[in-house]
Amino acid sequence: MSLITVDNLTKTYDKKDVVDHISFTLESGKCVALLGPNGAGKTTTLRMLAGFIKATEGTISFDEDELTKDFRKFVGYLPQFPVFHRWMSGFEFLVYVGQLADLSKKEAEERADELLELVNLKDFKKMRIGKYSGGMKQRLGIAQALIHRPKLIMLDEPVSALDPIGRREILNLMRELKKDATILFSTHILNDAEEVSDEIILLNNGKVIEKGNINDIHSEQETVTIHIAFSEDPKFVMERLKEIESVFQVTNERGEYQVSVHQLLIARKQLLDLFQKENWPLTKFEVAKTSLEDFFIKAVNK
Amino acid sequence: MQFQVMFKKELLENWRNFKWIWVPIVFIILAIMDPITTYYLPRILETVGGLPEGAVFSIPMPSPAEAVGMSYAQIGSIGVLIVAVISMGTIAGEIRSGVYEMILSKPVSYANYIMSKFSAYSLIILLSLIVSMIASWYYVSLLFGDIAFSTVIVSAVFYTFYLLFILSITVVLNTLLKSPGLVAFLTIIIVIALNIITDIFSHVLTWSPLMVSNHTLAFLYDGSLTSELIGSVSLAIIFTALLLVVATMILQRRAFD
Amino acid sequence: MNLTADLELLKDLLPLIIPLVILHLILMTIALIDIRKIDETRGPKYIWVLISIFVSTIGPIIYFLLGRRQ
Repeated sequence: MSLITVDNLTKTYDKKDVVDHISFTLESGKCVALLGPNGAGKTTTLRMLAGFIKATEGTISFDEDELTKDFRKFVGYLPQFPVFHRWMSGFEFLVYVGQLADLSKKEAEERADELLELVNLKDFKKMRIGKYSGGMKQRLGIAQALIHRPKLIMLDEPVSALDPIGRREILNLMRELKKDATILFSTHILNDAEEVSDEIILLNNGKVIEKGNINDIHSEQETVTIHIAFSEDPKFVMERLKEIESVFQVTNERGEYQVSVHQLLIARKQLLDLFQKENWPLTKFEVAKTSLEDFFIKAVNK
Repeated sequence: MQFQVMFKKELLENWRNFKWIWVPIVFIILAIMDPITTYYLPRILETVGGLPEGAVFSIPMPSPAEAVGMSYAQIGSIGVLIVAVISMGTIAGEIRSGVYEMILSKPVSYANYIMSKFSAYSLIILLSLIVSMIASWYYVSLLFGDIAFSTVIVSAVFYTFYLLFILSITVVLNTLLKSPGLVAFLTIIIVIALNIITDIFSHVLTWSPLMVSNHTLAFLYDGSLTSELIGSVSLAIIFTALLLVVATMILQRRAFD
Repeated sequence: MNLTADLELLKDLLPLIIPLVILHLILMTIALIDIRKIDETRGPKYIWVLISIFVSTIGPIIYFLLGRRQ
């Protein structure tokens, strides 16, 4: 079931499309990473979804309640740099924003206790936020995003500013959250996206350049390169290799052939059959995968 | 409901940063400073001033109403500055620090946001004016002679509307500028400019909100409610309301960029 | 200088001075508490402590107006 549908969303600043006609659907219960380099338009997209800034063009619709223009009540939002009222305690702040999101005081207090437990801040409940560390603030930020049980949780670069331990904590927390919530988070680090998300939306220069299930993207984009070498080059080797159906590119570099293929299993069989039939003196047969990382760099540089 | 939550938060914040204590105290000091020094100046000079032997020193003592007027003179200058400074960062500071984004990501109405802040500071200003004028009345009665308590309190209520009008200017500037210092500075500049304009055209602009202070003094001297006083206070209230609406609209548009 | 006149003046001033002294003490106390609690002041904290203690009445006010950083 789709929770939110974004259609042709565009934001223009000074005649530049920071977000350029992007469309996507978020399925209920999925964890989706908005991936892209800095300046790709991730934050702007999230801020539009949070109802914080207005789109220049395009629509965002919540399937739950189409009549409501103010979808802030369905969304929990963690800004990239969460800032709090430093003079409040963590507990006070959660109760405050809970009440702003239409919870009664009692509900807000119960929920605040629950969340402080969840994000591991129970022992710092009464400490002034001014005294919190960066990691603690990030966790409190996630707690405040969850306070009104939003249908969609949006986290803007939740882990990029944290040290490895803090990062680990937040990723674990997100894994916990995705069991019963829809999460959309932005990151410029592929690793983080791979680690917790089910789907990615790859953004560059304000445009969606790739989206979908992270495994599908993996296999779809899996162009495999096989490195082959012979003790003595057979005749017409390039031509013969290119004749094979699953091979789409052959290059020769320092006596080694780089054979790019689409479907590894079929290609491997066809190649090895050929070598055996022709009795070519094979000395090297090595399979090298193109990682998602390479794909990311390629896609962004396009 | 939401307004109450935000209003309470403002009250708590101003309690924790001691504004509820120090602002009224500063107003009290402003209000009693001039009456006291005026009264004791001749004697102080006589005792420590080292005047030449036999020099006759006479300063006419002000009437009780004039002495209370001295309190308003101080509050009208330094008090206005205090109003601008205590409220200069109430919105601008939150936008600059980023708390604003955190709060506004919840379904908060812009009008509630503005009104909670305006109301909280209004209450501090009202309290400060009332206690400082009670102090002024006390000292003036002691030193200069009787003046009706009710007259002084009613004058303080009128004067509050003048300060609230200035507060609403600060609130508008808060929604426009990111620097709290600039908010205070521009507030003062605008008040000075408005005062100059009102002074130049004082015969036409008798109902100008800036004339509330002048008319309040007149009320203090003869105790009569003039139409000018009522008119200028009414206009001050109307302008304050308008400025708050403008501030809400600015914030709404500003958030939509 | 006339000692009797000095004393007389002091005696007259006393009822007026006492409230002022109390106000001054309250201001100084809350300024010191606030300096202790606050994360950061404009400029070093100890300067504000000195100003609040030694610049009578005006010191704490200047601190609240200019010294707080939030």
